[in-house]
Amino acid sequence: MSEKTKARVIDILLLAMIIVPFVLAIALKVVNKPVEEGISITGAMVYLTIPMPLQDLYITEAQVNSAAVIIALLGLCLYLTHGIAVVPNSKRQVVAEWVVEKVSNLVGENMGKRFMGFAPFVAAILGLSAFSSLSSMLGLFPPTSDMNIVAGWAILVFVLITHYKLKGGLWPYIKGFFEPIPVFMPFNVIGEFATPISMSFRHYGNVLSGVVIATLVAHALQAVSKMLFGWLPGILGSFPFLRIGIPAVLSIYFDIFSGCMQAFIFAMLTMLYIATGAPAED
Amino acid sequence: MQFLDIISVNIWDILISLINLLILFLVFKHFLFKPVQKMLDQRKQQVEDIYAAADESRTAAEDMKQQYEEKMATAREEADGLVRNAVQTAQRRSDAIVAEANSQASHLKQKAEEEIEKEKRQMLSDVRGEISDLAVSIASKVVGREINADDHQGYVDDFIRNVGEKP
Repeated sequence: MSEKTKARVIDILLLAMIIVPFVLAIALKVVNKPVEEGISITGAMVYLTIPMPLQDLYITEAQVNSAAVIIALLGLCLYLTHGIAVVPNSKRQVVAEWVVEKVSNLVGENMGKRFMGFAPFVAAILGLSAFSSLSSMLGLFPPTSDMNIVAGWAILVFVLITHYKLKGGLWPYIKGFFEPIPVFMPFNVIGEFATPISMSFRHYGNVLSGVVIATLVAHALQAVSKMLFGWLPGILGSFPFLRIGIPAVLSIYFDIFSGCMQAFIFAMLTMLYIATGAPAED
Repeated sequence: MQFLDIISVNIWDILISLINLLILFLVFKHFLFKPVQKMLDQRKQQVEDIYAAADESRTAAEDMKQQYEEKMATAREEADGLVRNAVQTAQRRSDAIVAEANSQASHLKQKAEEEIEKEKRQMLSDVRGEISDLAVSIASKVVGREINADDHQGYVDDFIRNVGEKP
């Protein structure tokens, strides 16, 4: 009985570990958010500025939110694998197995069996990207709509791609830029560096466009509802009735579908670039 | 409150985000994939063990069945042999008994015949003696004088033989 109670307490603590970071992030945003006047589409809110060489380090909303996502995902991992047994006795173990199996299959199909070590990396990209985008449903600033966040991932992927290309030897790597004819060299170099840039801009642009459209629609609906219901007395007159419900429909596309789609695309491109960059297995 | 621009590049933010992804990769590796993979391996091992045990018991059962069948066959053979042996023994014994009985019977018969023969001879010789005595006494009576039995025994015996041969 005491063993069971202990397990329950750990479960509750882990669930708290998943929920509390988001609550803190929301609280931080609510405390710091200035009163909005009119339509303003800006980047992430800066909470703290630390002077650093080259450039100041900004601790922004995006950083805080992605840290919250990481802590929550750590809590989720621990929660899913807590009390794992050979004979499954909980639904969460089924979920954990499902996740591991699906990601392993995805990696195995797209990269081949020798890249199975990339399964946790791909899972990390999928989880971080998807949950970052989905955090906008909590009213948070989605970290993926900050270019710096996505650029960091894309650069890491670029480093990995280059690492695997260099595995085939330095000379074949350099020679690869002069193919099919040496005149193509500048285009090949641009194409090489276009990979991380296109990856980051694609992801960031998609999520940001959703945020922009959601903001515009929200303001437009507020204006329309003011026009239609402005004659009502008191607070009812300024209450934006049309903002109830309609933005949720857009949110299904821009937050859920687009967020998960971009996470999947980013993970897919990562796998394909790395697998094709690596020298053929001999 | 300060806001970043919509498009702003900050190398430190980029670096932090890169490290964040690495950290999350390690988190996923150590807290999700490793335990699940370990558990899956254990499960696989267990299933293999169960299959091996099942195979083992099946082969053991088949062995036992074969042994049992062999034993049954040998037992049947043995039983057949025993019965055959018993029959043979009985046959032999009965043959021996019959033979012994036969021999005993023939022996007895022979003995009896011998006895009869002996007795017959005894009787005959007795009778002969009687007759010779009788003959001698009759003859002595007829002749009127003593006939020496020893002297005339040869005649008497001759006579009796002749008598005996034509009863």
